[in-house]
Amino acid sequence: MAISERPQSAQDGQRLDYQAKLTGRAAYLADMKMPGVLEGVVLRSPVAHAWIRYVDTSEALKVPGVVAVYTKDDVVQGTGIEPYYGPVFKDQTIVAVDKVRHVGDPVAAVAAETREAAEEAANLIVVEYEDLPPVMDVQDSVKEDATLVHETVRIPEHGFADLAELKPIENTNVCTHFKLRKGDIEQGFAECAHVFEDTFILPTTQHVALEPHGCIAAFQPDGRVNLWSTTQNPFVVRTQLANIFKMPVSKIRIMVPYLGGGYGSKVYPKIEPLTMALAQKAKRPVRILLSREEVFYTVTKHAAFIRMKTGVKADGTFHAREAEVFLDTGAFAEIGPRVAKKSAYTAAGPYKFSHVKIDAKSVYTNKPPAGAFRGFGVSQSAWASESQTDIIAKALGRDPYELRMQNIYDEGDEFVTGEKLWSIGVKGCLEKVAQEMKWGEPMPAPDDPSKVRGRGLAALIKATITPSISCAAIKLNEDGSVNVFTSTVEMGQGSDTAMAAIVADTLGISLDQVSVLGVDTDVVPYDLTTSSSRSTFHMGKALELASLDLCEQLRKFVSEEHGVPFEETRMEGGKVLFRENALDIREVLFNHFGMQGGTLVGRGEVKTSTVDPDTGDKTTSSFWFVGAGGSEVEIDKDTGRLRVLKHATAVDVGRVITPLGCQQQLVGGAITGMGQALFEQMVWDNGILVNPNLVDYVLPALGDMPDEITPIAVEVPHKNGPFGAKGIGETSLIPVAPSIANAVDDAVGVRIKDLPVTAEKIFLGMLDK
Amino acid sequence: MKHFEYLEPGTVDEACGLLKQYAGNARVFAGGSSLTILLKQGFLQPDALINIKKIDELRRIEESGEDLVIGSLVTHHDIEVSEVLARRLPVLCELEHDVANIRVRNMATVGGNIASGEPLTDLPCVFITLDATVRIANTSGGRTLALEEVFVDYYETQLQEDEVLTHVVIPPLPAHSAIDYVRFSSSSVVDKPCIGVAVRMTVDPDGGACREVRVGLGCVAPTPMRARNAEAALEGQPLNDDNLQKAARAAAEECDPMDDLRGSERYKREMVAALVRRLSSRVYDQARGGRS
Ligand SMILES: Cc1cc2nc3c(=O)[nH]c(=O)nc-3n(C[C@H](O)[C@H](O)[C@H](O)COP(=O)(O)OP(=O)(O)OC[C@H]3O[C@@H](n4cnc5c(N)ncnc54)[C@H](O)[C@@H]3O)c2cc1C
Repeated sequence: MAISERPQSAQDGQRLDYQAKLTGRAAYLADMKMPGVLEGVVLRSPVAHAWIRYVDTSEALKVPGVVAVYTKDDVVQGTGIEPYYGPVFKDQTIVAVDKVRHVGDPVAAVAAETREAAEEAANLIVVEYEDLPPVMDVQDSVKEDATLVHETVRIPEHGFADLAELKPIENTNVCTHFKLRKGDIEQGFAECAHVFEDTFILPTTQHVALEPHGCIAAFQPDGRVNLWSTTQNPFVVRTQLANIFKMPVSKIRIMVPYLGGGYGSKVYPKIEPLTMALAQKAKRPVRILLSREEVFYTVTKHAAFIRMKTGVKADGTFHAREAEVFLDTGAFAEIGPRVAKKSAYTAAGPYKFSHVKIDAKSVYTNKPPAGAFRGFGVSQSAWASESQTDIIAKALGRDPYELRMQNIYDEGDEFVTGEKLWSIGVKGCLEKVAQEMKWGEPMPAPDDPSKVRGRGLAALIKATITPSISCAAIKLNEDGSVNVFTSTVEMGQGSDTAMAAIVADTLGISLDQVSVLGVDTDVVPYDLTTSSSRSTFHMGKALELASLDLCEQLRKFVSEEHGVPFEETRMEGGKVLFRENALDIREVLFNHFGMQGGTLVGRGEVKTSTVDPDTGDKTTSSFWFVGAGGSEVEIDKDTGRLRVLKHATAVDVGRVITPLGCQQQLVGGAITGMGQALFEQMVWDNGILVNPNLVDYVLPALGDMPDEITPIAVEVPHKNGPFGAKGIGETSLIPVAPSIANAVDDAVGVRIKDLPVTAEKIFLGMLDK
Repeated sequence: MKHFEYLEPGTVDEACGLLKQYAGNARVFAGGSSLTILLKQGFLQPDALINIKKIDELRRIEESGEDLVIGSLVTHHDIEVSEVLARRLPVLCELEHDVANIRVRNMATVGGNIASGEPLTDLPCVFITLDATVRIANTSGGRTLALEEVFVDYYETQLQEDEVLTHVVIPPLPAHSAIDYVRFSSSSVVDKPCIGVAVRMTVDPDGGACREVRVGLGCVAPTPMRARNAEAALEGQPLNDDNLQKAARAAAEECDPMDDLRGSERYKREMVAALVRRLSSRVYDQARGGRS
């Protein structure tokens, strides 16, 4: 299909939700009022790993106002539920049954008339634990004598297609082991003039979405249940709930208010199964709102340990890449196996290698479960790959930019999986970033003689979830305005505006004629998930198709009514044109229905597969997102303190849909990346999380930001994206950390291989040199 | 959070009386920025909170004779924008720009900053180098202590269960003196300090010898402390590379930092040395240049 022109309706940069959000009137889940709702409070494990000997709730039940207490007995004996769930493996239970597997693991929950009563009761529940040795990092966890986190792991009947081949390795803590092979690695290294080996480490971090997780569950008299939840993928959560509670999905209705940020922390079931179970037991509506501390126990980003070995020819050609990626998935598999798989695909970076051997292991430990995090395994492998690229450049005396450009993917190049890459503007991104960073020009000397400066670059390639499904519907009203039915969750990324713009532009109507309903699984068609930077590409396309479906229906009416061949009608600027005539939508509808009234429904669906429908080629990803970042840093030699002076980020967006939204995504991702690069880490001491709060878990502040973060949109359109657009949500985060570490090395000759890049590491690195 | 009585005395005497009545089971509540966290986490479960914010006399920053008197309810933000302090001790206003964030600065008080005994603070380190004293009210007439003596250990002070810290008293700086402070954060600019270093000295107009040298260190021991060996290394001589180096190393040795999230012991000692070196020479130049 030909690629349409750039959409026009969102060019002025206004977001549909800006007034509601700026004035504080936008309602989030915690703002909702529900008559008769009980407050749910979760009792969590104080220990990292232990058998549960017994749970005694007798004192808790005596607290006035307590309506129900939910424990393991309810999970195993009770109400005809399926005790085990999880998106990949069924290793989770609503509350811990036999064992607790991390500090903060839910052990019981109380529903009471007030939060105070629920808290008091939760404190009165007596649990006896029999401690087990906790395994707290992947290296210990893969040792032969390591204590097992899961004695057995259940595998669901209908898992995700892309993960079907991955199984837990019995009697070990290895949750999955994904292997990627190309060529002959030993031969590859033998053919190289230089071989480099390094180890890279990333700590566990947390998303810290502004809004903590929450859920309200209310059973209806007819047995149906309504849930309001802070979820990025209501349909996946609905499926999981249906499996647990043995109900048809039609009886489970999930509504999602505006989300106060997701970043991957709100995909797959979180607090929903427990809220629903508690509501079922209490026979009253229940809501659970997590505290900030509880969020740290609910989901994290995978810590990683990465061994990387790279063979390079004498002329700098990248030839062989071996990598062993250990991802710490915590106590439950969650979506960890896919994170590991995605990490493997890009462990060779955006570079052409003839020989590749990648082993990515997702490993259980006694930490809170790690799940999706903006960047999804790629920020881990890119940290290793892009850092090592500069190590190689330095050793060979090559310019890191030139070395990258020599090896980087271009249009039509073969990916590590053997498939060809299309719509792949990574070279352009790197070029633009280098220009913006004034690469190759001398840096101005700092005024203060104790300070030195350096610059660094990084590039990346990432896949989106494939196969996947997005369905959409649009209702055309009698006055020519439209209502959009989409399950893409507006979580701050500006999707409502982008979706409305695609509809408005395809129909040729103005943006103010378009309303986006919001997410309600009883009403909106199925969508897999608002994650993986997939919404604009998939849902945007589904809406473009739905709009085109409406156009076709309107043209058909006109063709029948006026006796013109269908091919001689067309739609433009919100009007149906034929011969010299132009009928606006309202007139066409009036003529069709014979009065002011009636509805037309346009439908669109996008389903991607691992085979390109046009060419029959293998496609690991329905599109690839690529980008590059550059950082300039200044370091105080006396203290190691670093300031990022400038950051530029270029992303191949395919086509800009909403200019302001696009810039905000690029800059926002870079800011999140700065936190990951410089400050953020969850720290454990003997299995106990030391910093589950925002005083000691340090987030980036405005004062840490460089004066300039320059977003650059590179446009290499994709044949299947709406107007050629691709996903942009994650790209700009990924190059930040390696570009900063590379800049540090450029400035002071210290190579930091474990995140975050702290003043202390830089200083001691200089001292110990 | 456990239930507690919430009381609002109108005078200091009343507050002390209430504290006495609860015999150790009540807590003074000032800005609440520190206390609320401890209450929420269940580390403290008092029977009563004695909110002293109605006691207006504790809110003022005043000049009393030569001395500066800062009431315990003065907030970080009050200090940041105080005209009196901008004139007399601008170092306090400047350091407050970087303390916590504006929400904490608006609520949190000088009294709470000291009485909490928190190890990661800024003001006490500077107050100590200014030879500040504190006035303490109690049910038996009250007392005055050198600020340095107030601190006992992490989160532990000399304040007794019926006592309210009412004022910080700062004597005037001698002529030809200067004072400065560095608040060193090892990560985000809004993170709690990793190290605080304050240096004050007077420089002989003729000869240029350092006199009355004070080197205050914050966050690198259970309490804010004076680095007396560092002070001695500079005392009585003009500043030069040699004694500067000695002072820096002395400070690094006499402090007692802990490995924690904000840095290892080794790094903190190195930073104490680097900052004492940097700051001493800056303060020396300022004092010689006549700026006080
Ligand atoms: C996010 C955050 C960041 C921070 N960053 C910094 C920083 O950068 N630098 C810094 O110095 N501090 C920092 N702090 C600490 C903060 O400044 C202190 O906690 C604050 O000054 C305490 O004042 P308050 O009035 O809120 O005390 P409260 O919380 O009300 O009380 C603290 C303790 O002192 C006792 N108390 C209070 N006033 C009196 C009194 N007059 N007499 C006797 N006892 C009293 C209380 O009983 C309680 O035990 C930070 C705090 C937070 C929460």
